[in-house]
Amino acid sequence: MTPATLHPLLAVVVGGLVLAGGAVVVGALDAVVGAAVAGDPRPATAGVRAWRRVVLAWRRPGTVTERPDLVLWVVAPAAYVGVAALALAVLPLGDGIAIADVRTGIVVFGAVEVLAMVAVFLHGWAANSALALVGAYRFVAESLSFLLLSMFVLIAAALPAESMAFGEIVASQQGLWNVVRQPLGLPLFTVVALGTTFWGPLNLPDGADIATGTSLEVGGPAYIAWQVARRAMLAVYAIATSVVFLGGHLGPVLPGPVWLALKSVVVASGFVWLGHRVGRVPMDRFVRVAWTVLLPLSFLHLAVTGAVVLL
Amino acid sequence: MAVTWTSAGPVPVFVATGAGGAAVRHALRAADEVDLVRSPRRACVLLVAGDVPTGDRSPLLQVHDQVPRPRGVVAVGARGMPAELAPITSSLGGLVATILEVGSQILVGEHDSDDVLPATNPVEWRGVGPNGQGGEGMMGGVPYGRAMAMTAEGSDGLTLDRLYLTLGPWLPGLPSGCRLEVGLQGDVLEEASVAYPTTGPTLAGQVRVASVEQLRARTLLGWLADLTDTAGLPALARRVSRLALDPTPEGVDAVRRRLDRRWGLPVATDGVGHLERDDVTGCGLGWLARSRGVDEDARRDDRAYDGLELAAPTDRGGDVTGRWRTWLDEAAEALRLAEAAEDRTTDRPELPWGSAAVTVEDRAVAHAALATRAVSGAELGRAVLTLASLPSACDADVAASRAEVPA
Amino acid sequence: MTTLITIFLVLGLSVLFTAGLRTASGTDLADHITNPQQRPVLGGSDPKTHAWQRFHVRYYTMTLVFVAFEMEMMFMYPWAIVYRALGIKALVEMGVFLVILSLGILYAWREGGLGWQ
Repeated sequence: MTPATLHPLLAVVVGGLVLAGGAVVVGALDAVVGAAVAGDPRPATAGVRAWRRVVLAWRRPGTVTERPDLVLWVVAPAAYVGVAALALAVLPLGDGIAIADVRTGIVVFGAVEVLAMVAVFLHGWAANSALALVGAYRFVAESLSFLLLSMFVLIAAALPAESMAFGEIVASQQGLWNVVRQPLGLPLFTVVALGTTFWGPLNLPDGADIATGTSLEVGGPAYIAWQVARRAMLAVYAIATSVVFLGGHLGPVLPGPVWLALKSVVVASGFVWLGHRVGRVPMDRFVRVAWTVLLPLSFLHLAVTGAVVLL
Repeated sequence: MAVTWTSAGPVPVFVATGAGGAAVRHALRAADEVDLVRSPRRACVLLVAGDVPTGDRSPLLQVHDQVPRPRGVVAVGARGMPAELAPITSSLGGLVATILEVGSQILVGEHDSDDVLPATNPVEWRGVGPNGQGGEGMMGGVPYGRAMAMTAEGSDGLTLDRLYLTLGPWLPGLPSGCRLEVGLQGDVLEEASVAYPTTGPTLAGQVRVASVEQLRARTLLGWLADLTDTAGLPALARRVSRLALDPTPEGVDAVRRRLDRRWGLPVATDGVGHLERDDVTGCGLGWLARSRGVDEDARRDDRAYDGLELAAPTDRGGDVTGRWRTWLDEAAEALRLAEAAEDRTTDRPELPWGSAAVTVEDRAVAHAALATRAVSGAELGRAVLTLASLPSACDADVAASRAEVPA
Repeated sequence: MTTLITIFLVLGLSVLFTAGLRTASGTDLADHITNPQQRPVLGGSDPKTHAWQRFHVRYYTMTLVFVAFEMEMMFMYPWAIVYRALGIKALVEMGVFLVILSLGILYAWREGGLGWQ
């Protein structure tokens, strides 16, 4: 077990910086990639525009609906950021550098996904608005479908490492990255990442077909808090994907955290590009495909990985 | 300094599109200084584009009040605005500048728009007890102002609550002026009733064939832009909106290549909103019949189109994917016809949204019946996407409603 | 123990951050919110009932299959750690377990439980 070598207060600062920085980077990538896909003449300026949009939206007043559950409505974005921080805590940010690299990292990650589901559900339920409620229940269906995918993929990654700690999983990739010896893992984990952050093709709770669902009644600073939370979670998932499949902080010459940052930015760009490229999957089709196609694929992935490990 | 830095926008604008205001929506979607938001609660400026039908005036007042104060109202080409709103009118050309100006005035607190609906709650919140509880009982009574939903048997035999709602005329995602009255059980429309506006743009008198065909291209591409936006691809919708303002054949090909990829827009629209061939035959919506290979086209009988080759319609399948592929095909063909038509004129044009021989009211009724059949029993997201693929005449260009098509 | 403290601190930080984000702009709630402004956004119409209801969850069959798999997950966590030591026997045993549960998915699919109606 790799002990947490960061002093708790330092860990908090590092975690906060990574989350905030990650959210900013993902937001900038989203704006720039979106502008490129839209055919804007100067995509690079989209980042500044997005920042201005955030500031302007933040300064608008918030609103409240009839008889909402105010406590849960306020708690929802905070809970979402909280579980994103929890997920970040169990990921190794460098050799021996982790906020809390526990022996059961994978289990914590699974718990984070479930709690994220609860946070999004509360965000939609608390508003006492019909379309927001539909978005909330949709997310539960979506989430239950990809939760199992996440479990199988992470367990397959844990097989060569003989440990559920993410630090050990990175260490087991010294010879060969998991993306090469477990090829099905990365696409399946991408589905999980896009699903937990309800991004792009899996943006069912906040989809445009229900007029932005759970975010419909949200405006002003609360809306910015929600969007920042989503981007922070996507950043954490980009880091997790790099840790589990791309060797995390392993790499020559440059220090570990720099490698991790580079790999995470590449993965985050991929997620953001997929978000702008693939249309939103209809709810029932996603559930059917996840249970009849993706889950059997993950069984196959586990079986093949198991066989390879024993060789 | 924060004010001046952000005064270059993007201003969050909620567009309430009335009849004929679609061009405004596309112009703003393509603009950098304006951010189109999908909820009035995130907007700073309420923009009313196009004519407001009589029945939609009080919903518009409701939407206006849901925009948080301080707010502004801007109107473009909007006849029939309710008297209580005092909008700043603008032309399409100077719209972005007007919005930016209103936005920066709102930022510094120099501009606001008063509430128009009475501030008191029409439904008394308190019950009869000392703590506001009690009254006529929970089931079917009026606790705390609004009733709780009552149960009804669902299509799979379970008896659970059913919400009766009107997804109103000003909801983004639905076509302009379209009302969807639903009995929502969970997220499935157990009961549904669609209503389209019975007023809309018409073209009267002699019109140039080239202008009609260009209007067709702009309208169909505009529908595609809105559908792409509702299908979860806002960046590509921006690209299509830009094309819809100024269509070219190369642009249509480029958009088709980008959208019609295996993992692109068809992911969202395959298998959604299936319509049978019999449903669309004789519905008065020319393009819809042609999307299923039924050759209902007033242009074939029109003398003005003699010598201009019209392609035979192919059956693209009855789902939303087939319909937007038909839009792309017809837009490309329309641009080709506009090029070849030169100075021909016609007085019975095949309008982009249907045959001119059918009156607006009849078309609205047939259209509504068709849409109701398509969305009944469907899941809510699929229903909204289906309706986005069945737009009405109100989602056409502003110019059309002013009959500015030169004779 | 340090790990636990760290985790709680990180959780606390994120909650504070979100609270700060909402209150720092000074505009979290608009002044003088009137009742019409509080009505849920439905495109202009007035809702007749509260939105909270006994929601007809269409995917309840799927949740039962999910619970079955979740219990299986509990067994897979320690299995993953001792896998290499146990060898091919462990793979075969887990395979049998998964096949049995997959029959559940197959049944749900054939009975239409994975659909929306």
